[in-house]
Amino acid sequence: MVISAKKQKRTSPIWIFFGLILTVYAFSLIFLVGWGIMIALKSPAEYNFSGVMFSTNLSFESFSTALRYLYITVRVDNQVKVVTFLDMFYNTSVYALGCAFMQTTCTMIMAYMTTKYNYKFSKIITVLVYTLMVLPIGGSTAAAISLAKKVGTYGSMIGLFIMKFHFLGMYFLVYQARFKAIPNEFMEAARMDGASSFRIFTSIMVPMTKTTYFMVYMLYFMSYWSDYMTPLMFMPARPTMAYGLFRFKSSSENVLSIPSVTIAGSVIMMLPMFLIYVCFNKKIYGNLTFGGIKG
Amino acid sequence: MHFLKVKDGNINTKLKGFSKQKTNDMIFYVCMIALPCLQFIIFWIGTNLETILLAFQSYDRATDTYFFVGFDNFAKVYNMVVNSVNITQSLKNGLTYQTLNYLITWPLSILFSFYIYKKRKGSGFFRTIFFLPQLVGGVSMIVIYTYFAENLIPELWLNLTGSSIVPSGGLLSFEPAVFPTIVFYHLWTAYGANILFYSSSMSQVDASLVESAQLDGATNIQELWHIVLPHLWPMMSVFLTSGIATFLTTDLGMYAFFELDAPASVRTLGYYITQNTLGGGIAEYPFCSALSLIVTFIAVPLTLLTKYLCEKFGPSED
Repeated sequence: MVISAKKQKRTSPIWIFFGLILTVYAFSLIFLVGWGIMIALKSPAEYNFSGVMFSTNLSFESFSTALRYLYITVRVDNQVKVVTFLDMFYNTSVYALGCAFMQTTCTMIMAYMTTKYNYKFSKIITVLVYTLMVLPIGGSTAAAISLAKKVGTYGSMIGLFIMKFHFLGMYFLVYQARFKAIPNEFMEAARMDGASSFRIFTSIMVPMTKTTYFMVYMLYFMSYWSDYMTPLMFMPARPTMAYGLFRFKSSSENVLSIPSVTIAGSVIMMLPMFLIYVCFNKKIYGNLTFGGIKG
Repeated sequence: MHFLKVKDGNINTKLKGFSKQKTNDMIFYVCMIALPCLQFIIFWIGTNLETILLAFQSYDRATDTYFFVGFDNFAKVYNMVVNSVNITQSLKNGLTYQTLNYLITWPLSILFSFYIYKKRKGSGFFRTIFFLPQLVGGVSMIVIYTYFAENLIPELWLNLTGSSIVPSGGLLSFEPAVFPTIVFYHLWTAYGANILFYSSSMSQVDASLVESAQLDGATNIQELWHIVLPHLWPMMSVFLTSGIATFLTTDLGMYAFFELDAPASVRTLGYYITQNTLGGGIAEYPFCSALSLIVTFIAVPLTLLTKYLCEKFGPSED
């Protein structure tokens, strides 16, 4: 007699309850963003008619109005300069691409050197990163702006790239964990074949960590894309979209004071992020872990 | 031993080759770390030195220069803290937010991450949606939320109940409602990055350990408490330790909501520093630097104490 055993998977009531809470929370976020997109799809006239409530009379007029009228004026050498939305899009792209590249690359280099080269200085660097990550020792923003003006990095995109070429932060530990997982035998075998240290780094180590590099780069890119404070403080003459949007929100000009136009500007700004996420979301959820921190 | 018996020339060649490799390694090491270390010296150590220098100076508008004033700026900070009700309120606001952050955001992030780690129903969908605020971006999210709180919520409340939710304007115009509205925003949208780290770390838990616990009849809660949390503790303690002084430094995104005009009752100390730096210009840099130094002197021992407590009382994987 063959007895077929049906294994019934019973879901605990706790999981069901927790799943419901998560569903409510997830839909609250979708509602907020979805409502924003719906408002952006109303024309200014439709917004004046139906206000913030739901409507099926949708169009892209607010988007075209935003692209045409979303501009800000900045002072450059005592002259007033108009910065359009497209200019801001260009500034944001360069800022996010460049700063993310600088910070990711610097972090990777320092994590590799401190993991694979066992000098005393490597230990000092590692302890330093741990310490600064945990201890709130930081100069004031005022001092940072003052110093930037003194060394000449204030007001330029290259200056910001230089300022972001650092290795402090959590991703240093993520990279260290990644490099620690790569056996030293790869390096030794390459040395026996006559490879230089630089060749080992560029031809073996970097390709082996390209997934981590990409993931960290994407996370930094997303962070810099929506950063308005740093460009506001260090590069006010080349505003990014985040800064522009921030200024539109506070503007009292007729066109910009219509919520559907301002929210349409927000939606335009978030679109590249959605695109990146759709294309690369699996790579973003990579191995974001780091080891224990003691001492 | 065989190595020692080879001819002298071979030993010298081997030793020379060995030291040449070490020298090349050292040269490579120095070249690679030179620029990052130089950047650190200029922009981190330099900024901190600049903070200290500025804290003892004052700005002369007539000559556009700074001059030494001793401890005057620190005296100003002391007078401000002692005499200003707003500073006490700012500290209370920061503490309130940080307490709620630890009581709500932190445990919920871990529970959400555990749900995703266990690959329960909808975990992939939830992981994507919880990341939405990071995808949308800070300013865009704040723009949408501002109109949501100012326009939609009062309108919906009026339609549902027939009365106004606040006496005038929206939730960000009526002063008593502003702080709860902003705190709610942060608690509502905080989970994306935390879940990314926690769920990724949870996935590194030894599967055999989990299996043997399940065979022993451990429930999910027991698995979370005895296996997952000890594994997660190093990361949690970093977040806990680095965040303990946040009540002194956070500005709660007030600048994005209100620029320089946030109501006095909702400001935090971090916003106060930002407000003075951006609104006061270079004349206020010395005062802001002195205030930042004092904040650092308070925050560092607090953080060290938290680190000590985490190490002493935290769970271990052993």
